[in-house]
Amino acid sequence: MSAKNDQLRKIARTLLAEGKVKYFLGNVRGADGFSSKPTTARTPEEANEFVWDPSCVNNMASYLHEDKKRVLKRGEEPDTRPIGIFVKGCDSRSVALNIQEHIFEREQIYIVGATCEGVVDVPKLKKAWMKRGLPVAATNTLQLSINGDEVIASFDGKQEKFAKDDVIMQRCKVCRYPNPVIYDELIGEQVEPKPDAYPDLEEMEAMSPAERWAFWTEQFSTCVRCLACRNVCPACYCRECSVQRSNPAFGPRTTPTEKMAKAQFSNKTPTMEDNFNFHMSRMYHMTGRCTNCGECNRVCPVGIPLRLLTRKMDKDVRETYDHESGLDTEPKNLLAEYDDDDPEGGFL
Amino acid sequence: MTDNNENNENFEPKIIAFLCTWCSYAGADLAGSARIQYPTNVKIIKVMCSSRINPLFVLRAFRKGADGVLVSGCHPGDCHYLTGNYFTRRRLILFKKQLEWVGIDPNRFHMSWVSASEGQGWADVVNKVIDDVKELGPQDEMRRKVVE
Repeated sequence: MSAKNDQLRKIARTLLAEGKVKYFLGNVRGADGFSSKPTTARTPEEANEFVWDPSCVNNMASYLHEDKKRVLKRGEEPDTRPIGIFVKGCDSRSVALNIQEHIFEREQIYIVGATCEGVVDVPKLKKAWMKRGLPVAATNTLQLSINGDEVIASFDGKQEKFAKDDVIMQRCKVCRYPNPVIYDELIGEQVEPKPDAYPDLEEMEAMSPAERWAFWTEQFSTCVRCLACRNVCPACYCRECSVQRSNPAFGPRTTPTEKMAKAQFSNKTPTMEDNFNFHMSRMYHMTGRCTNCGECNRVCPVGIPLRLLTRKMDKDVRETYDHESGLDTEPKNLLAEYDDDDPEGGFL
Repeated sequence: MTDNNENNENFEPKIIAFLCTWCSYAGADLAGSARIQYPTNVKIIKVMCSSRINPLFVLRAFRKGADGVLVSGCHPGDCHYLTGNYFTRRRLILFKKQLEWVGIDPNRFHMSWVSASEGQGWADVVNKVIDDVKELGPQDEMRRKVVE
């Protein structure tokens, strides 16, 4: 594991020292010792803090958009060097999607890919840690690694083993792209992908519509519309979100076009019906674009299984149109293209 | 609306239909001028092309209390704008699956192709939609409830 760390640090250090990238996006160890937090390194010294271990859950592709938001100071020359970014297999698809949609060009991003055997669900790991009565202070020196079916946590020269299935993220159990799809440099050896199946959807698929509605009602009614799922999403980069409009002011001079553009699809108050609208809007906007990184599911503070929505969407899109986003850098968008022979299902 | 909801026997559904100007609206117009009888539950919103219909419009219609929504456009290949309805087709097929996934009965949301010469076809579509929605009863799931 530390070998991987060293490799990442060395690559990032070299890139920054040679000035090949303007900054490098990667993970450093978080304050609690278990998790890792995303950070930006601008100097080789900062790059020495980088970690690459199973705690790196963050999809760094989301932080690429921050670059677009920055306003130049007066007289400042734009920095045209690429952004360095550290990606796992799933994140590389998100980066590829951004390139497909021309948010970034390929040469604007320097991708350091890492093959990934799965990342840990930090809350689950913490719980398991506490259950065993392990010292919390020991997390200062905690090092995580995955070996076969075990997650090995080593600290103070001691080793503690956890079963991989117990502490790993749900999304990693069905991950079909553990190896980066695009990269400039690669860390680690190729990992065997999981089989192409949707075992996580079976339970929901067996339900009747009424049962499903009851399930989602319960889930959506807890939503507080914090919009964390939207903010973390690497595919959500609109300046103004269709569900988060400022209160539209209509005057006598407001043109019909402006009125249409300002239509409110859900109110601000997080009631069940508006939450439903919000999540449906989000789901629809992600159709054919979602890369299934599962970040929305991870960040939800009330634990709504948003991944059930995105996984189902992924399945539908693949079954109906044989389309998958973010696999290469060729521009391609499911809903902006058509085929004469598309299926005709459901039309009267 | 509220009166209807209390009595399922005499339930008259409110159905919002988004029609494209060139085919479906003209078809509905033809049904009128040919004096073909069909129920009045359908409230028509005319749009220039069926691809103008953002699926969020459908959600908004449900939120405002529609019992059923119908989207209708030209037959594939006949679009006035040449390719508009191909996009509609992809969008709506996927959107309907998504509605089903969260537990909305698929019969609440219908899509159809009606050309300008199909007056009777339009009446048939409307009858089918109304039958389906009547079977389901009033839509209370997505309607925005006002706290009193």
